[in-house]
Order: sequence, then structure tokens, then C-alpha cells
Amino acid sequence: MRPLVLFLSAFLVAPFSARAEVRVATTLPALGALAREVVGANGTVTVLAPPDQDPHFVDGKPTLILALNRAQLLVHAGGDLEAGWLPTLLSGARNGDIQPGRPGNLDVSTLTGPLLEVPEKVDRALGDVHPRGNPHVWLDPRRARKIALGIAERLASLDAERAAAYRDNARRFVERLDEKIAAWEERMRPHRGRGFVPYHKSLTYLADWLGLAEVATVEPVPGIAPSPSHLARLILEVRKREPRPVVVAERWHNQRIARTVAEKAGVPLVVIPGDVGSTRENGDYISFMEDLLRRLAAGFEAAEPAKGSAPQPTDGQAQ
Amino acid sequence: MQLTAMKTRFVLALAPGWSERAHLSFVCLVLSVFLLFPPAVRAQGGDQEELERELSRALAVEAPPPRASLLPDISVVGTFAAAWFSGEPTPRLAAHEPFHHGPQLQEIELGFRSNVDPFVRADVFLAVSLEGIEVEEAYVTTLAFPADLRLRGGEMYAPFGRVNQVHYLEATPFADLPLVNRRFFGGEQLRGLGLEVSYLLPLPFYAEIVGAALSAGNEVSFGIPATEIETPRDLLGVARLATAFDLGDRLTLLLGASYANGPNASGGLEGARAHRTQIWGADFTLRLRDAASRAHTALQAEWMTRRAEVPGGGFLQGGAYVWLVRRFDARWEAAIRGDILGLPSGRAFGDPHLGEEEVFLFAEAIHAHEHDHAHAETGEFLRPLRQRRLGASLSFYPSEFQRLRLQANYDFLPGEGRGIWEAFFQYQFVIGSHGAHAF
Repeated sequence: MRPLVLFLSAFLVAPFSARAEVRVATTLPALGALAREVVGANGTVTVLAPPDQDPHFVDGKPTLILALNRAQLLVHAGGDLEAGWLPTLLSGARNGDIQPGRPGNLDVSTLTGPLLEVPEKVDRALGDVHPRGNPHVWLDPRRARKIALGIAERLASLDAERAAAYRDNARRFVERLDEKIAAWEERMRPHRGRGFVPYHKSLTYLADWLGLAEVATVEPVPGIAPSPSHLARLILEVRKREPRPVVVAERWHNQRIARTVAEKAGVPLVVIPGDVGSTRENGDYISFMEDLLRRLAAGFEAAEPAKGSAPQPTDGQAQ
Repeated sequence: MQLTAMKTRFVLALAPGWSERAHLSFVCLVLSVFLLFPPAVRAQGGDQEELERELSRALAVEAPPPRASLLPDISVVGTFAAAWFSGEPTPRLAAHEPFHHGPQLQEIELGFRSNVDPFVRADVFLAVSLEGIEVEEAYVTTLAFPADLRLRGGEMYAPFGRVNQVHYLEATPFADLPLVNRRFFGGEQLRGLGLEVSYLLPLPFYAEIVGAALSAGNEVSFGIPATEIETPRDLLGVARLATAFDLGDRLTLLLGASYANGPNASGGLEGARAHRTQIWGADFTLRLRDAASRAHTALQAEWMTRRAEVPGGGFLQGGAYVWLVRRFDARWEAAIRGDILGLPSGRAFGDPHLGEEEVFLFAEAIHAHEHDHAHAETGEFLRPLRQRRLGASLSFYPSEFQRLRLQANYDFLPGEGRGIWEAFFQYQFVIGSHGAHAF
């Protein structure tokens, strides 16, 4: 009898002891990295999307339902970025706390100020446009700062007992990040106003921060594969540009097309290896941004060496 | 200053009746328009782009969100096909599969999805075809039901197997149904009006158990029309256990087992409640996603077996399909499929002459009464049959919202003799909101 009582009471106690640590789920690795800074040792952060996959086209595997079922807070990019895979998982999660509109559902596009590139006309003739604006906000560290603080506030309201810990963690992270932002801005200052050709409109916020100019995109419109005639126009346009721009592609985009455009236009290709955690060097948000900016700066240097710096070999690649 | 004075005089001359104040504001307006636009016109290249960006940013802040209404997410999926057969095609129900030579409208699906309130979400799908409009699905799903339970109520596809739970025209790599799904569930698949309860098992891996009770208006295997239902036994009961495992970062295995039990109403109006059909099913899906790419490979198989009681005995029939899909990139997809009716091969039990006669279904009985037809097509789908079919398809997606598909089947017809070739060309477009993909 006694073992049975113990066994049954274990079931009663288990939910409470499990609640002792906070459980956060995030859709994208970058958001997971920011959440991890805030949560620290107070809980666990589970990331749904793998770091090497396009955030629009993540597999909504049923196995991801478990993490959502147990999460107390879901952090997602919003702006319909995850519309192709998150709703099914959210419905399967049977977790009322993280449904849209609940305190446990944090849409980071509400934290970072107005989204850029809100289409004046929502028409798919313009590609797979996001009606609420461009949702790729996390590559701007000033916006990432707001996201980290927003996560801390949300966690503080959900878990009042450890509110101070979340706010402390966020403050410490933001202090580190602010120093880095100043250093990054200093490092990228020579490249201000430089042109770049992203594959997809996913670097808009990075450009907004660093004052880079998007010359054109490899895709003619979002989500549409480029035709040869579009590529020809693009290459001719890029060739004309002074100083020479760089082509930037994330790893999940068509590398053959990106490489061809860069080679034919005679400019370097900068490959972004994916999201946070896609390589051994970019395991947290700061090291990820460090890596990204190093690649970008190397690309700009290779395209057009800044005065006073040694010329670098231009083999069309800046890895 | 001189310019302003000139303008003022000009405006005064134009509108002599205006007050001084009105004149001044008009002048200010004209000037501000001049100040705003000429630089944009004059500026070349970088300046203009810079200004455009600035303007679009300024306008973006003030632009109202485009979807500030309470309208549900609305989508329209249009699916058309053109078909060719080298001989008489095997029996199929004139629903949404290509079933005759030449062009045909497979379906126009109207989808409406929205949260109803903080507690439930509603999904409504209306299917329009040349035969009219029908409710394909219309159900509500709980969002926050306690104890890891989820309730679904309304008209819905029965939670049986894999293909039966999806809108196959959108979600499968072929233009038609697997043979076994067609033979056991008919052209409209297994669906009905009722309630479903599902539970996420408290295990360290994903496992879900689902139970449903539906009005069994199926045209093939089950069928007491909703208007004739008297007891709970007249409903169709469906149960399913589904589980999934990640085998590494990119490989996922899904396994499922399903069971359905309901009255089949063979023997016409009188014998309606005496005979039942049971279907057992097992499914297997293995999906490998390529690294850093849209590409994936999926192997999917389902096996089902049906035991149907009819007056004087019954029929036992099995069937399975297996398909392999390769999505090469965002634009191209190829798939092959093998179908079999057998496993176990169809056989009758009870009366030794059973297989030779027409099986009379409830729905037909009504049909016969009303229209004085001797027999309808549906009864044939309950009889045992051995058949095999091979198919291959190639799909091209110009964008996420359009698909062109070519498919060829070789149908080894039942019995002796040569089989027939079937060829389909299918076109599909999606407009409106982008629904989530089924895995």
C-alpha cells in the first residue's frame, strides 16, 4: 500500500517540481540565443527551427509538439514568417498558455518598433510578401537588444519570483551587447553606404543598422526563383556600381546562382552560414554577429580595399 | 520672397473671394508640395533611392496594418486536370479524381480559418465542383482544453491513416487517390459529422491517441445516413495511435495505427443495422530533410484491411500503397507510387456464391426507390478485388502558389488481359492566406 501511495504522490508532485524551472520555446535559433541570455540558469530554452534551414520553410515535425506542449513562453518572430509551419504545431501543442494573444505568446515583431518594408499593396504579383512588413528583425543588434529586454519583461511577469534574475541577466547581456554594438559600428564605419545584393530580403535590418544600400536582390521578388533575364539585368547593374557591392546569400539559398552572379559581376560572394549555432564559432548571439560582420567586412574589403589597408586576394569568394 | 509674392498675387487673382488666411495656407501648401517633389524629380540614382527609402519608411509607420479587420484568413485553391486513358478506367467515383477523358475541374476549395474566441479555432473548407458546392470540412478545435486534451467537432475527415486526414489534392504528390483509399473510402474519403477527442500521452516522446464518433455517411464502406441514425451504434467509431521520433537532426520517423468500426447497411433498408464493417490500418512515414535546403526525401506507406459483413456472409479485403517522393528544391518534385489491392487478397466468407452477386447498399436502396435504378456503382466497392497499379509524377512549382503536375499510371486491371495507361496533367493555384503545411 505504502509504495503505491508514494508512487501516486510522485505523480502529484512531479508537475510542481517540473514547474520549478522555466521552460521557453523559440521558433528561430537567434531568438533562442537571446532567450538563453535572459533565462540563464533559471530554466531551459528549446529552439524549434534548425540553424541551417530557411525560417520560412521549417518542417513542422510532430516531434516539435512536445516542446510546445511543455513551454510556458513561446517566442516567435511573428509577421507571418512562421505561418507555414507554426500554426499546426501550436494547435497540436494543447497548451492554452502559449496561444496567440496569451501572455505566454511573445511576438517579437511587437517589441522592435515598426517593421520596415510594409507593402503599400499586398499583392502576390510582388512575390511572397509579408503583409505586416519584413519580419527578419534579429540581424540588427539594436533590435536584438529590445528583444532581449522584452523577453526579460515577459518572463518577469510570468514568473514573478525570479523577475529580478531575468532583468539582471538581460541587463548584463545588454551591457555586453552595447559595448559590442559600439565596436561593430566603429569597425563597419568605413563600409557605410556600401552596396550589397542579398539573395532574399532578409538583411534589411542589418542594412538599416549599418547604413548599407541594397542594390537589388538575387530573387526578382521575394520567394520567386530568378530567371536568366533577371540575373542578366542584375549582373549588368552590379557591374556598373562604384564602389563595387558584394553579393550576400544565406546558406539555404541557391548557392550556384549566388556564386554565378558574384563571378559574372566580378564581385565577392559573402555566405552567411545560417542562424546562431550553424557553426562551431557562432554558438551565441554575440559570436554569431561577430562572425557575420567579419564575413561581411572581408567581402567589402575584397571588393574594394579601403585606403591604407593591404589589398586582399579576390577570388570571388570571401568566406 | 519675390516668388512667394508672385504666387500670392497669382492666387489672389484666381480666388478673389478667399480670406487672407485661406490664401496664406494655400500658398504654404503649394510651397510645401514644391519643396517636397522637385528634389525627388531632380535627384538621380543614390539620392532618389535614399529619399524613396526615407519616404517608404515614413509612410510605413503611418500606413494602417493591411489586415486590421476581423475577417478570417481566406484562401482559394483551384485544381484542374486533363486526363487520358488507354482503355476503360477502373471503377472510380466521380468526385474529385480525374475520371474521364479530357479536361475537368477537380475542385475549387474555399478555405476560411480564424480563431473564434480565446477558446476555439474554426476551419471551414467548402468544395466547389461542377456538381455543386459541398461542405468538405467545417470544424472547431479547442485551443486551451485542459489535461493535454484537444477536442474537435463538426464535419471533418476521420482521423484514420495519413492520406485520409489531408486534403489530398494539395498535400499528396499525386493527382489521384491511392487505390486502397479509393476502394475503402470512396472519392470523398472517410469523413463525417461528429466529435473527436485526442490526447497527448505524457511520455518522453511524441505519442498521440485519438478517438472519434462520426455520422457514417460514407458512400463505400459505411453508411447509415445522418437522418436515419437512432442509436450510438449507428455511428462510425474511429481510433488512432500516432507517434513520431527524430532519428538525428534531419531524419524523422512517423508511425501510426488506426481502426474504424461502423454499420455498413448492406442488404438495403431492412438489414441496415445488422451488418458492420471494420477497417484496420497501419502507416509508416520516413522523411529526410537535406542540410541547408528545401530538398527532402520521404517514404510513406499505408496498409489497410477491411472486413465487411453482408447478408449471408462477408468480404475480407486488404490493400496498401507505398510512395517515395523527392523534393529537389523549391521548384521540382518527383514521386513514384506502387498500389496493391490484396494483402490479404479479397475473399468472401459465408455463402460460397456471395462474390458473384451485386451487393446492395443502403444508399443504393434509397437511390433505387427514388429513381428506379436497378443498382448503383457504390456496391461494387465493397466486393473483393485484386488489383495492382504503378504511378509516377513530376511536379513543377513556379512559386509557392502554383503547381503544374504530370502523372502517368499503369493499371494492371483485375483479372486477365492487358492493363491500361492513365495520364494526367494537373494544374493548381492558391490565392489568399497561406495555410500551414501538413508534415
